[in-house]
Amino acid sequence: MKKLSSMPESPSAPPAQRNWWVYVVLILVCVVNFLPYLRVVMAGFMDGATSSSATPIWFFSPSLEAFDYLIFEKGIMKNFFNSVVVSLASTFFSVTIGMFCAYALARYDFPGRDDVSFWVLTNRMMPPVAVLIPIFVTFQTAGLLDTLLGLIILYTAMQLPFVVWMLTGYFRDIPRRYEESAMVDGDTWFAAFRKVTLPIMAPSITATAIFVMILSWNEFAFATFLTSNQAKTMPPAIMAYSIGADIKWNVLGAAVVLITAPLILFVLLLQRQLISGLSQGVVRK
Amino acid sequence: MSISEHTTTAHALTFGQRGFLSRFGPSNRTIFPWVLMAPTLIILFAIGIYPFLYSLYIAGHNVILSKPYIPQHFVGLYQYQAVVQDPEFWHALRKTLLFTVQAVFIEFWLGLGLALLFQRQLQGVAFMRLFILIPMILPPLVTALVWRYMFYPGAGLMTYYVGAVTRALGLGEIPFLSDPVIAFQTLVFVDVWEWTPFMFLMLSAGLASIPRQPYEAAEIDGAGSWRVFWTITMPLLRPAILIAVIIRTMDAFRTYELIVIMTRGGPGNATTTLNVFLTKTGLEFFDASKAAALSLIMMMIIIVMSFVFIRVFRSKTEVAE
Amino acid sequence: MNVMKTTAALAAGLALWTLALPVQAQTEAQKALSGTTIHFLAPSMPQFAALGKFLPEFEQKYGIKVVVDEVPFENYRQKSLVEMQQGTGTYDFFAVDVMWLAEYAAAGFLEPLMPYVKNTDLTDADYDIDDFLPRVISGTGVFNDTLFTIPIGAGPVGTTFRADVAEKAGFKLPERFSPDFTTQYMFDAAKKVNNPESNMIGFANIPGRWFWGVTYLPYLYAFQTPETKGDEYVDKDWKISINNERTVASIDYFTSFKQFMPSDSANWGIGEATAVYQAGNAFGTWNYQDFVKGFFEDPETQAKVAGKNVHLHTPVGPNGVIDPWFGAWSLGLSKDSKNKEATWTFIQWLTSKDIQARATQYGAGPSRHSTYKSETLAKYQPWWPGVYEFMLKETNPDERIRVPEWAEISDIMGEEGNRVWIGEIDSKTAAANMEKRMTEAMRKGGYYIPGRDDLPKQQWRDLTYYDRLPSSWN
Repeated sequence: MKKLSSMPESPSAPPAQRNWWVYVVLILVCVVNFLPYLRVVMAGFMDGATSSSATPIWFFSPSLEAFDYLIFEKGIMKNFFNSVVVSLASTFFSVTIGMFCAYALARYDFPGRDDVSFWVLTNRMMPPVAVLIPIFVTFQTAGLLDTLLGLIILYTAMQLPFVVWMLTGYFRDIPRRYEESAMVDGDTWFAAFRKVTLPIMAPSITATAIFVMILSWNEFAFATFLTSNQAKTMPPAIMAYSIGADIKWNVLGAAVVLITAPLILFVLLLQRQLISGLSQGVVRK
Repeated sequence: MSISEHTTTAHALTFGQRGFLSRFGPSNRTIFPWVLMAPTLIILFAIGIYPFLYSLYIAGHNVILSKPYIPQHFVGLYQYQAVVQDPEFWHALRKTLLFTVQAVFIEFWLGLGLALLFQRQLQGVAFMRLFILIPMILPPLVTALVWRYMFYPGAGLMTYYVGAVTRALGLGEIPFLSDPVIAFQTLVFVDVWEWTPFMFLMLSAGLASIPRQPYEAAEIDGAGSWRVFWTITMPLLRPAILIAVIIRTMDAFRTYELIVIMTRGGPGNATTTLNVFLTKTGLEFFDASKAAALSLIMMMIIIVMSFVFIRVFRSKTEVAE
Repeated sequence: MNVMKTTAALAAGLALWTLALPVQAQTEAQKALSGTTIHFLAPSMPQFAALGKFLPEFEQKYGIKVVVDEVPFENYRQKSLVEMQQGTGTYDFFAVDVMWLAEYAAAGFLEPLMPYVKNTDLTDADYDIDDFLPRVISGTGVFNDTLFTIPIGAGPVGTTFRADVAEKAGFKLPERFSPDFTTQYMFDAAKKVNNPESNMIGFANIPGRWFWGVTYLPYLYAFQTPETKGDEYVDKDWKISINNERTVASIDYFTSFKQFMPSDSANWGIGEATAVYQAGNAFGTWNYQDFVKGFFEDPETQAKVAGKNVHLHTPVGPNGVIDPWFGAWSLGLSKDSKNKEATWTFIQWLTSKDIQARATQYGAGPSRHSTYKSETLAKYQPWWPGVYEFMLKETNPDERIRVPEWAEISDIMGEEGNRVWIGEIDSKTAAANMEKRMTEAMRKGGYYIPGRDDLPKQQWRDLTYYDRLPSSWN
């Protein structure tokens, strides 16, 4: 890989003439990244016997058995709905709240700034297992067990450090003079922030939100312990339904289709924003 | 209504009455940042403080949660001592560091390589990005299960096709998950598979925002591509690298689902990392006190690692600028 | 799909048929419970899926709604213990593995059940607690002379072999529990048919480190002598006694099956070994009696092996000792439940003679005399009646010593044993390590506090304890 990484190209270098090997490498990477996923998605459309066959089977008559089981017998769409609510809400709150914190860290030079910033980051370092029991107790006391609200609050807190760290870099890269000129024109700080800073930041915020969304959507450990029948989200549900005494690969495959479909669509629709948003800040001087 | 009146109203609406509240307004450069940060800090504090104090308290006692009948008393630093004297802890620490360093190192270079390839602005590769991003979109748990499927006896693609190749070469089957060394590397491989896309995305972003001028200057100087890479690309990429590497290091350090689903710490104890050890202690044996001491020690290790990393990196960045 | 529909129709038909019968007189107390909702925490396993089919019938009859929350088996113990410790009361009853009873009951998380059994307002007159096999109910549900759970199926662990493969190789497998089926016989048979080139391995063993507590254990027992029975883990004073030549010999035997298996097998669990067997690529494998229907005898998904199997016990050891294993799941009432009476009404209904017999059609196992003798069982799971005598007379409920430390003991055994499998250490070192680490676990459990005189009794040394009539427990 050293060889690849040593290909310094200016960002807007013209396409090189003979770069067929680049295509070969990229196609190879795509295959490696996509094949396992494709395989498990295919399993989702197999019946039980085909999915647990002795050798890999590539051609088979598709069956919706597993989807039927998950959606109608197990009612997984309820979990799906919970996941949608929890991940959208926690993404919205963590990005909105974290944005202002990031702004303050980027714009103001106050004593203890680096310490605050580092302390925020340390909140992401504790392994979930270590804080599970105390959080369980807190939730129990506050009556938040098995509620969507509880998960939303927790995920918001869990994603804040990431949001703050990502956005601080981006805010730092927006020249201060933009806002200042708006404020000279008579706008309040908030109006300037809303009219000038936010639009510039929109792509970066979108990109950060997509990351946060993926993390919240996929969270498993807390969801398993803090929810029961009402607020259970997708990850614990698909685990429970696809792993019994043995693993039902076709059910797992169907579950993978259901759990990844919204994210794939989301990324597909927003991939331009994702890249442009992420590339907006970081080092621009 | 004159324009100035209008702005005054808006200002008042945003920050309440002029007077007391405006003291915390944007014009106060000492207090206003704290006002902006307050919601974040309050939420983090509210969610984080109790678990932290609880861990501190429990680590000073002898609580086994599934055995409430054992009398509890204060044991001082005994639990920390118990952790540090446990050979399993040192074994797990070694495995964790090895895993983290290897995974992050490989992910970084692969991600950077991919990002550089995409920089070449080739025709018709945009759609490939989604394919490359797929591993990152899968829930970590599903990733682990998918790979267990790949290594399943018989129908697993790795077992079947790679096995066929190695058998044809006379090497027999590769014990992907059964040899202590190979199993560990298999887990590193799957982690790399899962998280290289993250590095790729973060570093792509960093690369795309590097201005053109330094490169043009280098071209005029006739600097070789190797030199340009090390003197221009890498230094300007530093802030992006900092965030990407630090986030990945923190997450690799506490990797759990992947290991537990694929090997559950085995074969033997070859893949027992700190987080696997912690979960076993805390949630299988419910030795809450030892688990709390262990988690605080883990926390200290990762804090020191990140702190040193940030310091070193930041100072270098400043020099480079 | 068609089969599923037919089964559903059949179940509905059965339900209607029962309803059409003169309805068992419900007591006033039971009627008053109508409208309650009770919550059940269960691992996602086939036994519980089978019971789920009866919920609508119960709801219709009693007006009590049962909500089941399924958790992956891997997280079940963790989740159930967290809920219990914190006393949430979210779940009214729990599924309890036979191995966890000591832990749950010693900590006081479960409600004693005998008062409910004897409460004629809540329990059907026909319930007949003495219809349960004594050792099954005492081994599964009794701790400290008190009844805490009601079993919903209990069975031995054994081995399953392909009769057709044996026949082709020119031999016939012995009967279940035959003294001819020895450890030596099993190894020789596996060696005889082992032919990996043509996709037939001699035996698909389960060496994954977290499975030794259920897969290796039968061999640890088989290698005992009649005199050392009962001293497998601890001696009379609760000192760990696992470091001996019998342990070493049994580890050596267990790991000798490695030669038949693919090189990437050290992590194989029940899933992997079963999958290989189901695919028709193994001569034999491990079984648990409760899984036989779902794993080996379903013609839909196991077309290659269904109907061709012989289900045997685990083999007799060199000194004629047979493994007395049995595993069981049961239902325990949470002490924090706010609907204890409604919950008991459900438990007694589900474990009644009628439902237990009917549930065997869907793969549930028997734990009552009447279920063993029922026609449904003989028809749908003919491999069961053969273990009746064994469950009545041979089985030892404390074979895996039922102490709260079992989770640790089992983990240590698996880790050290698995290291032998991969060739990292030899069996002698493993046995020595096991002894050292298990001793530490027991020390932590408070067994070696000097002067302690209230250590639990080792009931397995006199099995008549477990033969008491079920109704005589507290």
